[in-house]
Amino acid sequence: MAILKTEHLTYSYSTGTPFEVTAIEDIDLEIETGELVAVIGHTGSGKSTLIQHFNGLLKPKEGKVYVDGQDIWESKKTLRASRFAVGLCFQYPEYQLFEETVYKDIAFGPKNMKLSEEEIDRRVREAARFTGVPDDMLEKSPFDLSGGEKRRVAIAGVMAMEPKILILDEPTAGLDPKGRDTILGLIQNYREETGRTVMIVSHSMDDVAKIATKVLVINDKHAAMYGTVDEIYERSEELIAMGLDVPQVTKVFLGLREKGIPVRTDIYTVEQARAELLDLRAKGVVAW
Amino acid sequence: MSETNKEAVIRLRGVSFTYDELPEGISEAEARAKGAPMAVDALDLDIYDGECVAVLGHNGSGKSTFAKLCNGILVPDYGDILVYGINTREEDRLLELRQKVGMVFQNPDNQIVATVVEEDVAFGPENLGFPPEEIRARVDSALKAVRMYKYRGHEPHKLSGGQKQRVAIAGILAMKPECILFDESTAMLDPKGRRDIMRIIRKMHDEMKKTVVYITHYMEEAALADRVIVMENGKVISDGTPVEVFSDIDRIRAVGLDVPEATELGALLREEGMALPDILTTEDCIEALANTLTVKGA
Ligand SMILES: Nc1ncnc2c1ncn2[C@@H]1O[C@H](COP(=O)(O)OP(=O)(O)OP(=O)(O)O)[C@@H](O)[C@H]1O
Ligand SMILES: Nc1ncnc2c1ncn2[C@@H]1O[C@H](COP(=O)(O)OP(=O)(O)OP(=O)(O)O)[C@@H](O)[C@H]1O
Ligand SMILES: [Mg+2]
Ligand SMILES: [Mg+2]
Repeated sequence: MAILKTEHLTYSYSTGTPFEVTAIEDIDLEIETGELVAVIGHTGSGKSTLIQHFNGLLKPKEGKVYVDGQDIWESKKTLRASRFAVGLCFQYPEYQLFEETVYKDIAFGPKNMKLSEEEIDRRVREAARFTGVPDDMLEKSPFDLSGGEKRRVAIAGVMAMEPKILILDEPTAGLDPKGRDTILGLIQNYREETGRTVMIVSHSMDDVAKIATKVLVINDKHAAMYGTVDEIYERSEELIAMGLDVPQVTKVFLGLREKGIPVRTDIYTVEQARAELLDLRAKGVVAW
Repeated sequence: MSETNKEAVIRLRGVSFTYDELPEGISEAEARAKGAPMAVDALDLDIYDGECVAVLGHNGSGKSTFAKLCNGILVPDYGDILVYGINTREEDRLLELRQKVGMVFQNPDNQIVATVVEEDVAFGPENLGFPPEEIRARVDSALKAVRMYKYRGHEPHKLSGGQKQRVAIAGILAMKPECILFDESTAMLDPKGRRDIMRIIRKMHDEMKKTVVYITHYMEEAALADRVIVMENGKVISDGTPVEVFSDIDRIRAVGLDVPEATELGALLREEGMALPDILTTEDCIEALANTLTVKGA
């Protein structure tokens, strides 16, 4: 069964004022349990607006949101349940850091869930380890951290709630390349070990290609594509036309193709690129 | 190098900074002996007039601290920084300093001050006391440069992440500083937005002849600079042209960074016997491969 489903989801900001903007329109989605969904789309396309509907932070103007088959707006009880079932980590981590210490910050969510002290401690330490937050940082004030360190702490805080659906808005923005790989690796592990559903909003197709099982493309308020990484990459040219990016090697191969070199264009890692050229040489198509 | 006859506009000499509270008058040696962690550590560095510099380094390596020191937001615990001849310790010249060197921060929310986009962008020039026509002209051209002109009447806090960042950049552009420091100003933008900002950065450098320093975690962006500086534990561990810095892939990876994919692909293919020139960008790579590959039967 779909863990997350939307029907005709529509939302606008500043309704009834001259500045009314429709941010998402008529979105139908069905996401199966255990998927790792990457949400991509240009700036202002509606990604952050969309995901804030999944735990009831925003109320649809039209349409429905179902978590685990339950219409979240049916009652106060179902709405509250959706807050624990869906853990959301915001685009700007500063918004969710407010406690005196990093430890307390990560513990905030589990505490609200009324877990035992030992269970809270276990989760805080596990989430910290997962996200690469060292022990001596736990006693620091979250305001005394660098940009990338704050982001790790914010992610740890949501992970510690062990939600059914973990949603991270731009989790790798502001991380160094190794940090990006680390966070992506742990998100992937987290999903594989727990079998839980994960959704990440990202501007980086490189990140997406590495770990996602499905990609959701939002273009100008609408859900434009939903499919596997390979399915989406076959449409690289459409992605570029939407102002999205594809990995640098994909662009190189699209460029070579344009210059009349008969390479495949569904290439998205450096390794695949090398293999493709070696393969073409072995087949006698190209030489160097 | 041509730099040698250029003027250093930002000059750091033996600069150390720690976020720890230090007792009054404690010497640098004593501070170190007490174990105060140096976010910027005995740094000697010159930024020359008209340079376009990218600063790289893993999280917590001291990049933002370095930028804040250059802008006088932080003052060194030890050593001195001269910015356009102004020592950042001279508190009464801070306004003069900020007019010379503008800074765009990591999070745009921290720099948005007004409730309407154009008022926000006007904030800086208004504080400098320019006449209304001048302010109007600066605000309009800054908003057009970041392609936010049509949002001039909107409320900044209701914009999306990427849009807010562009407004923040317009606010600095409107001050017309000689040098601009960008602290991960593209981190929240989509690829198109990032390319826009990189284009603005290059334009400010190439056409407006400004000195530009940008901190980034994107190697493809760093490849567009004239000079790349790599920081690690508050020190500079690598400093040169992008080709020089990215040529040692293992060393770059050892400090948690990476090289552009095009550069990596070039290195892999050289191992397979291709004779390729230095590669930094997508265009470099396409051209180099198109020149090297021969298609049989074509
Ligand atoms: N609080 C708000 N009030 C009014 N309009 C808003 C608000 N937040 C977003 N918008 C508008 O809604 C649209 C979608 O914004 P949203 O933040 O969902 O985009 P996004 O895809 O997450 O963009 P980004 O990649 O820049 O984060 C944009 O046009 C934006 O200007
Ligand atoms: N306000 C603060 N108080 C105490 N320590 C701080 C503060 N800001 C940063 N630090 C520490 O100083 C060191 C350097 O931080 P800085 O913000 O300069 O790093 P950075 O290279 O900009 O990192 P990032 O890529 O994550 O933005 C880090 O160890 C960080 O934890
Ligand atoms: Mg967003
Ligand atoms: Mg920083």
